[in-house]
Amino acid sequence: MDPLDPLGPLETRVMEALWRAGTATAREVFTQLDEAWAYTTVMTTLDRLHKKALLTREKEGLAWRYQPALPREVLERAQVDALASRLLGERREMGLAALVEAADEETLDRLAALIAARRRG
Amino acid sequence: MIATLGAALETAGALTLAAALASAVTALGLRGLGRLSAAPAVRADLALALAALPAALALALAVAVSAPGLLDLAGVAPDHCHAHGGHGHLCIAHPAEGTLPLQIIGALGLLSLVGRATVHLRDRIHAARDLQALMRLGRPDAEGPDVLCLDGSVVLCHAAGVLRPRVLISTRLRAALGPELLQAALAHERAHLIRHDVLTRDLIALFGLFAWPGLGTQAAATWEAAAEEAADAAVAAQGRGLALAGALVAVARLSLPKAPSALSLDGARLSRRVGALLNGTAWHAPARGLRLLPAGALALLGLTAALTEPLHHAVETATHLLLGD
Repeated sequence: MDPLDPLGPLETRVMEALWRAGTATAREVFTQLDEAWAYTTVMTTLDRLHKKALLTREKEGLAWRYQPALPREVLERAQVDALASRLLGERREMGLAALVEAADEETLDRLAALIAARRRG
Repeated sequence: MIATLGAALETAGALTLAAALASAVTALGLRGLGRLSAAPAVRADLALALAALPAALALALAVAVSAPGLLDLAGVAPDHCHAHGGHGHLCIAHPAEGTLPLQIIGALGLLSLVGRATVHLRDRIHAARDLQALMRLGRPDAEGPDVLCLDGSVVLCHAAGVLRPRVLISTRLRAALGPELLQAALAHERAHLIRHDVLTRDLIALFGLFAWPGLGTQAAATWEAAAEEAADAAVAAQGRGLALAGALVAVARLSLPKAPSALSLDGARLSRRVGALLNGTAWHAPARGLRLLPAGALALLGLTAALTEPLHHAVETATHLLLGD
Protein backbone atom coordinates (compact mmCIF):
# COMPACT_ATOMS: atom_id res chain seq x y z
CA MET A 1 0.00 0.00 0.00
CA ASP A 2 2.09 2.90 -1.33
CA PRO A 3 0.92 6.30 0.02
CA LEU A 4 2.14 7.91 -3.21
CA ASP A 5 -0.02 5.73 -5.44
CA PRO A 6 -2.78 7.70 -7.17
CA LEU A 7 -5.85 8.23 -4.99
CA GLY A 8 -9.21 6.86 -6.08
CA PRO A 9 -12.20 9.22 -6.58
CA LEU A 10 -13.65 8.68 -3.08
CA GLU A 11 -10.22 8.83 -1.45
CA THR A 12 -9.67 12.18 -3.16
CA ARG A 13 -13.05 13.50 -1.94
CA VAL A 14 -12.37 12.34 1.61
CA MET A 15 -8.90 13.91 1.65
CA GLU A 16 -10.33 17.16 0.26
CA ALA A 17 -13.00 17.18 2.97
CA LEU A 18 -10.37 16.69 5.67
CA TRP A 19 -8.02 19.32 4.24
CA ARG A 20 -10.96 21.75 4.35
CA ALA A 21 -12.11 20.82 7.83
CA GLY A 22 -8.74 20.19 9.47
CA THR A 23 -10.07 17.30 11.56
CA ALA A 24 -13.26 15.26 11.36
CA THR A 25 -14.92 12.02 12.44
CA ALA A 26 -16.30 9.53 9.92
CA ARG A 27 -19.82 10.88 10.57
CA GLU A 28 -18.69 14.47 9.87
CA VAL A 29 -16.91 13.46 6.64
CA PHE A 30 -20.01 11.49 5.61
CA THR A 31 -22.14 14.62 6.13
CA GLN A 32 -19.65 16.81 4.21
CA LEU A 33 -19.83 14.45 1.22
CA ASP A 34 -23.61 15.10 0.99
CA GLU A 35 -24.14 11.47 1.99
CA ALA A 36 -23.45 10.44 -1.61
CA TRP A 37 -21.62 7.33 -0.39
CA ALA A 38 -22.67 4.83 2.28
CA TYR A 39 -21.47 5.65 5.78
CA THR A 40 -19.64 2.32 6.02
CA THR A 41 -17.85 3.00 2.70
CA VAL A 42 -16.63 6.35 4.05
CA MET A 43 -15.45 4.60 7.25
CA THR A 44 -13.56 1.97 5.23
CA THR A 45 -11.97 4.67 3.05
CA LEU A 46 -10.83 6.62 6.12
CA ASP A 47 -9.33 3.45 7.57
CA ARG A 48 -7.53 2.72 4.28
CA LEU A 49 -6.12 6.26 4.11
CA HIS A 50 -4.94 5.88 7.71
CA LYS A 51 -3.18 2.61 6.78
CA LYS A 52 -1.54 4.46 3.86
CA ALA A 53 -0.20 6.93 6.46
CA LEU A 54 -2.06 9.79 4.78
CA LEU A 55 -4.24 10.36 7.88
CA THR A 56 -3.54 10.32 11.59
CA ARG A 57 -6.31 9.56 14.10
CA GLU A 58 -7.21 9.78 17.77
CA LYS A 59 -9.96 8.09 19.72
CA GLU A 60 -12.87 10.41 20.58
CA GLY A 61 -15.38 8.49 22.64
CA LEU A 62 -16.32 5.48 20.54
CA ALA A 63 -15.30 7.08 17.23
CA TRP A 64 -11.99 8.04 15.60
CA ARG A 65 -11.18 11.65 14.80
CA TYR A 66 -9.05 11.87 11.62
CA GLN A 67 -6.55 14.51 10.53
CA PRO A 68 -4.48 14.80 7.30
CA ALA A 69 -0.87 13.74 7.93
CA LEU A 70 0.41 16.17 5.29
CA PRO A 71 -0.69 19.49 3.81
CA ARG A 72 -2.26 19.10 0.38
CA GLU A 73 0.61 20.80 -1.50
CA VAL A 74 3.24 18.56 0.09
CA LEU A 75 1.35 15.36 -0.73
CA GLU A 76 0.64 16.45 -4.31
CA ARG A 77 4.26 17.43 -4.90
CA ALA A 78 5.43 14.04 -3.62
CA GLN A 79 2.85 12.31 -5.82
CA VAL A 80 3.99 14.26 -8.89
CA ASP A 81 7.61 13.28 -8.24
CA ALA A 82 6.72 9.62 -7.63
CA LEU A 83 4.44 9.30 -10.66
CA ALA A 84 6.80 11.15 -12.99
CA SER A 85 9.81 9.13 -11.82
CA ARG A 86 7.87 5.91 -12.41
CA LEU A 87 6.81 6.99 -15.90
CA LEU A 88 10.31 8.18 -16.79
CA GLY A 89 11.92 5.13 -15.23
CA GLU A 90 10.54 1.64 -15.53
CA ARG A 91 7.67 2.68 -17.81
CA ARG A 92 9.73 5.04 -19.87
CA GLU A 93 8.52 3.60 -23.13
CA MET A 94 4.90 4.24 -22.27
CA GLY A 95 3.22 7.41 -23.33
CA LEU A 96 6.00 9.92 -22.97
CA ALA A 97 8.40 11.44 -25.44
CA ALA A 98 11.57 12.70 -23.81
CA LEU A 99 13.46 15.95 -24.07
CA VAL A 100 16.07 14.86 -21.57
CA GLU A 101 19.41 13.47 -22.73
CA ALA A 102 22.03 12.24 -20.30
CA ALA A 103 25.61 13.50 -20.44
CA ASP A 104 28.56 13.93 -18.10
CA GLU A 105 29.52 17.29 -16.64
CA GLU A 106 32.56 17.71 -18.86
CA THR A 107 30.45 17.29 -22.03
CA LEU A 108 27.87 19.74 -20.69
CA ASP A 109 30.54 22.36 -19.96
CA ARG A 110 31.98 21.94 -23.46
CA LEU A 111 28.54 22.26 -25.10
CA ALA A 112 27.62 25.27 -22.94
CA ALA A 113 30.86 26.98 -24.01
CA LEU A 114 30.05 26.27 -27.68
CA ILE A 115 26.56 27.75 -27.29
CA ALA A 116 27.91 30.82 -25.47
CA ALA A 117 30.50 31.36 -28.23
CA ARG A 118 27.78 31.12 -30.87
CA ARG A 119 25.62 33.62 -28.96
CA ARG A 120 28.50 36.08 -28.87
CA GLY A 121 28.53 35.68 -32.63
CA MET B 1 -10.15 -32.08 -32.52
CA ILE B 2 -6.50 -32.92 -31.81
CA ALA B 3 -5.77 -32.92 -35.54
CA THR B 4 -7.36 -29.45 -35.85
CA LEU B 5 -5.31 -28.18 -32.92
CA GLY B 6 -2.22 -29.63 -34.56
CA ALA B 7 -3.09 -27.85 -37.83
CA ALA B 8 -3.63 -24.57 -35.96
CA LEU B 9 -0.25 -24.98 -34.24
CA GLU B 10 1.36 -25.69 -37.59
CA THR B 11 -0.12 -22.46 -38.95
CA ALA B 12 1.20 -20.61 -35.89
CA GLY B 13 4.59 -22.25 -36.47
CA ALA B 14 4.68 -21.01 -40.06
CA LEU B 15 3.83 -17.49 -38.87
CA THR B 16 6.47 -17.65 -36.15
CA LEU B 17 9.06 -18.54 -38.77
CA ALA B 18 7.83 -15.72 -41.03
CA ALA B 19 7.99 -13.22 -38.15
CA ALA B 20 11.51 -14.45 -37.32
CA LEU B 21 12.57 -13.95 -40.93
CA ALA B 22 11.05 -10.45 -40.99
CA SER B 23 12.78 -9.73 -37.67
CA ALA B 24 16.12 -10.52 -39.30
CA VAL B 25 15.30 -8.02 -42.06
CA THR B 26 14.27 -5.45 -39.42
CA ALA B 27 17.50 -5.98 -37.45
CA LEU B 28 19.61 -5.51 -40.59
CA GLY B 29 17.54 -2.49 -41.63
CA LEU B 30 17.92 -0.82 -38.23
CA ARG B 31 21.67 -1.32 -38.44
CA GLY B 32 21.72 0.29 -41.90
CA LEU B 33 19.49 3.12 -40.73
CA GLY B 34 22.22 4.34 -38.37
CA ARG B 35 24.45 5.02 -41.36
CA LEU B 36 21.75 6.56 -43.55
CA SER B 37 22.14 10.24 -44.36
CA ALA B 38 18.56 11.51 -44.47
CA ALA B 39 16.31 13.94 -42.67
CA PRO B 40 15.58 12.70 -39.10
CA ALA B 41 11.86 12.64 -39.90
CA VAL B 42 12.55 10.25 -42.79
CA ARG B 43 14.76 8.06 -40.59
CA ALA B 44 12.02 8.00 -37.95
CA ASP B 45 9.46 6.95 -40.59
CA LEU B 46 11.78 4.19 -41.86
CA ALA B 47 12.35 2.98 -38.29
CA LEU B 48 8.56 2.83 -37.85
CA ALA B 49 8.19 0.84 -41.09
CA LEU B 50 10.95 -1.57 -40.04
CA ALA B 51 9.38 -1.98 -36.60
CA ALA B 52 6.04 -2.81 -38.24
CA LEU B 53 7.51 -5.36 -40.66
CA PRO B 54 7.44 -8.54 -38.49
CA ALA B 55 3.88 -7.83 -37.31
CA ALA B 56 2.69 -6.92 -40.82
CA LEU B 57 4.22 -10.02 -42.40
CA ALA B 58 2.94 -12.33 -39.66
CA LEU B 59 -0.59 -10.93 -39.87
CA ALA B 60 -0.65 -10.95 -43.69
CA LEU B 61 0.54 -14.55 -43.80
CA ALA B 62 -1.94 -15.45 -41.05
CA VAL B 63 -4.70 -14.33 -43.42
CA ALA B 64 -3.17 -16.12 -46.42
CA VAL B 65 -2.48 -19.37 -44.58
CA SER B 66 -5.79 -19.70 -42.76
CA ALA B 67 -8.12 -18.25 -45.43
CA PRO B 68 -8.57 -21.39 -47.62
CA GLY B 69 -9.35 -23.64 -44.64
CA LEU B 70 -11.65 -21.09 -42.98
CA LEU B 71 -13.51 -20.38 -46.25
CA ASP B 72 -14.01 -24.14 -46.67
CA LEU B 73 -15.34 -24.44 -43.10
CA ALA B 74 -17.71 -21.53 -43.75
CA GLY B 75 -18.91 -23.24 -46.95
CA VAL B 76 -17.83 -20.31 -49.13
CA ALA B 77 -15.25 -22.09 -51.27
CA PRO B 78 -13.74 -25.57 -51.20
CA ASP B 79 -10.21 -25.87 -49.89
CA HIS B 80 -7.38 -26.65 -52.23
CA CYS B 81 -6.51 -29.97 -50.55
CA HIS B 82 -7.03 -31.90 -53.76
CA ALA B 83 -4.42 -29.74 -55.49
CA HIS B 84 -1.68 -30.81 -53.14
CA GLY B 85 1.36 -32.65 -54.18
CA GLY B 86 4.92 -32.83 -53.05
CA HIS B 87 4.67 -30.55 -50.03
CA GLY B 88 3.08 -30.25 -46.61
CA HIS B 89 -0.44 -29.15 -45.95
CA LEU B 90 -1.63 -26.31 -43.73
CA CYS B 91 -5.38 -26.58 -43.48
CA ILE B 92 -7.70 -26.30 -40.51
CA ALA B 93 -10.64 -27.77 -42.46
CA HIS B 94 -8.82 -30.96 -43.41
CA PRO B 95 -5.90 -31.39 -41.02
CA ALA B 96 -3.41 -33.88 -42.35
CA GLU B 97 -0.78 -35.66 -40.33
CA GLY B 98 1.11 -32.84 -38.67
CA THR B 99 4.76 -31.86 -38.67
CA LEU B 100 5.84 -32.05 -35.05
CA PRO B 101 8.76 -29.55 -35.22
CA LEU B 102 6.48 -26.98 -36.83
CA GLN B 103 3.81 -27.58 -34.20
CA ILE B 104 6.40 -27.12 -31.42
CA ILE B 105 7.62 -23.89 -33.01
CA GLY B 106 3.99 -22.75 -33.27
CA ALA B 107 3.27 -23.57 -29.63
CA LEU B 108 6.41 -21.75 -28.47
CA GLY B 109 5.62 -18.78 -30.71
CA LEU B 110 2.08 -18.53 -29.40
CA LEU B 111 3.20 -18.89 -25.78
CA SER B 112 5.78 -16.16 -26.26
CA LEU B 113 3.26 -13.85 -27.95
CA VAL B 114 0.60 -14.37 -25.29
CA GLY B 115 3.12 -13.93 -22.44
CA ARG B 116 4.62 -10.78 -23.88
CA ALA B 117 1.22 -9.36 -24.78
CA THR B 118 0.01 -9.92 -21.21
CA VAL B 119 3.02 -8.13 -19.73
CA HIS B 120 2.65 -5.32 -22.28
CA LEU B 121 -1.04 -4.89 -21.51
CA ARG B 122 -0.42 -4.87 -17.75
CA ASP B 123 2.35 -2.26 -18.09
CA ARG B 124 0.21 -0.21 -20.47
CA ILE B 125 -2.71 -0.15 -18.03
CA HIS B 126 -0.45 0.84 -15.13
CA ALA B 127 1.26 3.55 -17.19
CA ALA B 128 -2.10 4.94 -18.38
CA ARG B 129 -3.35 5.05 -14.78
CA ASP B 130 -0.17 6.82 -13.62
CA LEU B 131 -0.33 9.29 -16.50
CA GLN B 132 -3.97 10.07 -15.85
CA ALA B 133 -3.22 10.65 -12.16
CA LEU B 134 -0.26 12.87 -13.10
CA MET B 135 -2.41 14.95 -15.45
CA ARG B 136 -5.08 15.35 -12.75
CA LEU B 137 -2.40 16.87 -10.50
CA GLY B 138 -1.41 19.40 -13.18
CA ARG B 139 -2.78 22.90 -13.47
CA PRO B 140 -3.28 25.02 -16.62
CA ASP B 141 -0.22 26.96 -17.62
CA ALA B 142 0.03 30.50 -18.94
CA GLU B 143 2.01 29.18 -21.92
CA GLY B 144 -1.12 27.74 -23.53
CA PRO B 145 -4.06 25.37 -23.20
CA ASP B 146 -1.90 22.43 -24.32
CA VAL B 147 0.54 22.87 -21.41
CA LEU B 148 0.06 21.46 -17.90
CA CYS B 149 2.28 22.65 -15.08
CA LEU B 150 3.12 20.17 -12.30
CA ASP B 151 4.37 21.25 -8.92
CA GLY B 152 7.32 18.93 -8.37
CA SER B 153 11.08 18.69 -8.08
CA VAL B 154 11.37 16.19 -10.92
CA VAL B 155 12.92 17.32 -14.22
CA LEU B 156 9.92 17.02 -16.48
CA CYS B 157 9.21 18.51 -19.89
CA HIS B 158 7.38 15.89 -21.88
CA ALA B 159 4.74 15.34 -24.48
CA ALA B 160 2.21 12.89 -23.10
CA GLY B 161 -1.17 11.35 -23.82
CA VAL B 162 -2.69 9.95 -26.98
CA LEU B 163 -6.33 11.04 -26.89
CA ARG B 164 -5.71 14.42 -25.24
CA PRO B 165 -2.04 15.12 -25.82
CA ARG B 166 -0.44 17.67 -23.53
CA VAL B 167 2.98 19.07 -22.71
CA LEU B 168 3.78 18.42 -19.07
CA ILE B 169 6.32 20.68 -17.42
CA SER B 170 7.45 20.68 -13.80
CA THR B 171 7.71 23.88 -11.77
CA ARG B 172 11.37 23.08 -11.10
CA LEU B 173 12.25 22.97 -14.78
CA ARG B 174 10.02 25.94 -15.57
CA ALA B 175 11.87 28.03 -12.99
CA ALA B 176 15.30 26.84 -14.13
CA LEU B 177 14.81 27.72 -17.80
CA GLY B 178 14.57 31.40 -18.66
CA PRO B 179 11.72 32.57 -20.91
CA GLU B 180 13.70 32.03 -24.14
CA LEU B 181 14.83 28.48 -23.31
CA LEU B 182 11.37 27.64 -21.94
CA GLN B 183 9.75 28.67 -25.24
CA ALA B 184 12.26 26.55 -27.17
CA ALA B 185 11.68 23.51 -24.92
CA LEU B 186 7.90 23.85 -25.27
CA ALA B 187 8.25 24.25 -29.05
CA HIS B 188 10.23 20.99 -29.10
CA GLU B 189 7.50 19.15 -27.18
CA ARG B 190 4.79 20.68 -29.35
CA ALA B 191 6.66 19.34 -32.38
CA HIS B 192 6.28 15.87 -30.82
CA LEU B 193 2.54 16.50 -30.46
CA ILE B 194 2.24 17.62 -34.10
CA ARG B 195 4.19 14.52 -35.19
CA HIS B 196 1.91 12.27 -33.03
CA ASP B 197 5.04 10.78 -31.50
CA VAL B 198 3.31 9.48 -28.38
CA LEU B 199 0.94 7.37 -30.48
CA THR B 200 3.78 6.22 -32.74
CA ARG B 201 5.82 5.10 -29.75
CA ASP B 202 2.87 3.06 -28.47
CA LEU B 203 2.42 1.45 -31.89
CA ILE B 204 6.11 0.54 -32.08
CA ALA B 205 5.86 -1.11 -28.66
CA LEU B 206 2.85 -3.07 -29.92
CA PHE B 207 4.64 -4.15 -33.12
CA GLY B 208 7.57 -5.29 -30.98
CA LEU B 209 5.43 -8.14 -29.63
CA PHE B 210 5.74 -9.91 -32.99
CA ALA B 211 9.50 -9.44 -33.34
CA TRP B 212 12.44 -11.20 -31.72
CA PRO B 213 12.70 -10.44 -28.01
CA GLY B 214 14.63 -7.19 -27.63
CA LEU B 215 14.20 -6.12 -31.25
CA GLY B 216 11.13 -4.03 -30.44
CA THR B 217 13.15 -2.11 -27.84
CA GLN B 218 15.97 -1.63 -30.35
CA ALA B 219 13.52 -0.36 -32.97
CA ALA B 220 11.93 1.98 -30.41
CA ALA B 221 15.36 3.38 -29.44
CA THR B 222 16.31 3.95 -33.10
CA TRP B 223 12.98 5.60 -33.82
CA GLU B 224 13.17 7.70 -30.65
CA ALA B 225 16.63 9.06 -31.49
CA ALA B 226 15.41 10.08 -34.95
CA ALA B 227 12.11 11.48 -33.61
CA GLU B 228 13.99 13.66 -31.09
CA GLU B 229 16.19 15.03 -33.85
CA ALA B 230 13.11 15.58 -36.04
CA ALA B 231 11.49 17.62 -33.25
CA ASP B 232 14.77 19.56 -32.88
CA ALA B 233 14.75 20.27 -36.62
CA ALA B 234 11.18 21.55 -36.45
CA VAL B 235 12.23 24.04 -33.74
CA ALA B 236 15.37 25.03 -35.69
CA ALA B 237 13.13 25.73 -38.71
CA GLN B 238 11.34 28.31 -36.52
CA GLY B 239 14.68 30.04 -35.90
CA ARG B 240 15.00 28.85 -32.29
CA GLY B 241 17.79 26.33 -32.76
CA LEU B 242 20.29 28.12 -30.52
CA ALA B 243 17.76 28.51 -27.71
CA LEU B 244 16.83 24.82 -27.97
CA ALA B 245 20.51 23.83 -27.80
CA GLY B 246 20.74 25.88 -24.58
CA ALA B 247 17.58 24.24 -23.24
CA LEU B 248 18.90 20.74 -23.99
CA VAL B 249 22.11 21.43 -22.09
CA ALA B 250 20.24 23.08 -19.20
CA VAL B 251 17.84 20.14 -18.88
CA ALA B 252 20.67 17.59 -19.04
CA ARG B 253 22.53 19.52 -16.31
CA LEU B 254 19.48 19.48 -14.06
CA SER B 255 19.20 15.71 -14.61
CA LEU B 256 22.84 15.06 -13.71
CA PRO B 257 22.46 13.67 -10.15
CA LYS B 258 20.04 10.98 -11.21
CA ALA B 259 20.55 10.60 -14.93
CA PRO B 260 18.58 7.64 -16.28
CA SER B 261 20.94 4.72 -16.74
CA ALA B 262 19.14 3.50 -19.87
CA LEU B 263 20.71 6.35 -21.84
CA SER B 264 24.36 6.67 -22.73
CA LEU B 265 26.18 8.87 -20.24
CA ASP B 266 28.94 9.84 -22.65
CA GLY B 267 26.64 12.49 -24.09
CA ALA B 268 27.22 11.43 -27.70
CA ARG B 269 23.57 11.81 -28.57
CA LEU B 270 23.29 15.19 -26.85
CA SER B 271 26.49 16.39 -28.55
CA ARG B 272 25.15 15.33 -31.94
CA ARG B 273 21.84 17.10 -31.37
CA VAL B 274 23.44 20.32 -30.09
CA GLY B 275 25.98 20.18 -32.93
CA ALA B 276 23.21 19.91 -35.54
CA LEU B 277 21.35 22.86 -33.98
CA LEU B 278 24.46 25.06 -33.81
CA ASN B 279 25.71 24.16 -37.28
CA GLY B 280 22.32 24.64 -38.89
CA THR B 281 22.29 21.05 -40.16
CA ALA B 282 19.09 20.10 -38.32
CA TRP B 283 17.18 18.89 -41.35
CA HIS B 284 13.47 19.57 -41.12
CA ALA B 285 10.94 17.39 -42.97
CA PRO B 286 7.32 16.55 -42.25
CA ALA B 287 6.44 13.25 -40.57
CA ARG B 288 4.58 10.97 -42.95
CA GLY B 289 5.05 7.54 -41.38
CA LEU B 290 1.91 7.50 -39.26
CA ARG B 291 -0.23 8.70 -42.19
CA LEU B 292 1.29 6.14 -44.54
CA LEU B 293 0.87 3.27 -42.07
CA PRO B 294 -2.89 2.68 -42.65
CA ALA B 295 -2.36 2.99 -46.41
CA GLY B 296 0.47 0.45 -46.21
CA ALA B 297 -1.68 -1.88 -44.11
CA LEU B 298 -4.55 -1.64 -46.60
CA ALA B 299 -2.22 -2.24 -49.56
CA LEU B 300 -0.75 -5.29 -47.80
CA LEU B 301 -4.21 -6.63 -47.04
CA GLY B 302 -5.28 -6.15 -50.66
CA LEU B 303 -2.14 -7.84 -51.92
CA THR B 304 -2.64 -10.71 -49.49
CA ALA B 305 -6.26 -11.13 -50.57
CA ALA B 306 -5.26 -11.13 -54.23
CA LEU B 307 -2.39 -13.56 -53.72
CA THR B 308 -3.89 -15.81 -51.04
CA GLU B 309 -3.47 -19.07 -52.97
CA PRO B 310 0.17 -18.60 -54.11
CA LEU B 311 1.12 -17.21 -50.69
CA HIS B 312 -0.54 -20.14 -48.96
CA HIS B 313 1.32 -22.62 -51.17
CA ALA B 314 4.59 -20.71 -50.78
CA VAL B 315 4.34 -20.94 -46.98
CA GLU B 316 3.53 -24.67 -47.22
CA THR B 317 6.45 -25.27 -49.56
CA ALA B 318 8.85 -23.22 -47.42
CA THR B 319 7.91 -25.02 -44.19
CA HIS B 320 8.10 -28.37 -46.03
CA LEU B 321 11.60 -27.57 -47.27
CA LEU B 322 12.70 -26.31 -43.85
CA LEU B 323 11.19 -28.98 -41.63
CA GLY B 324 9.84 -31.74 -43.87
CA ASP B 325 6.38 -33.29 -43.53
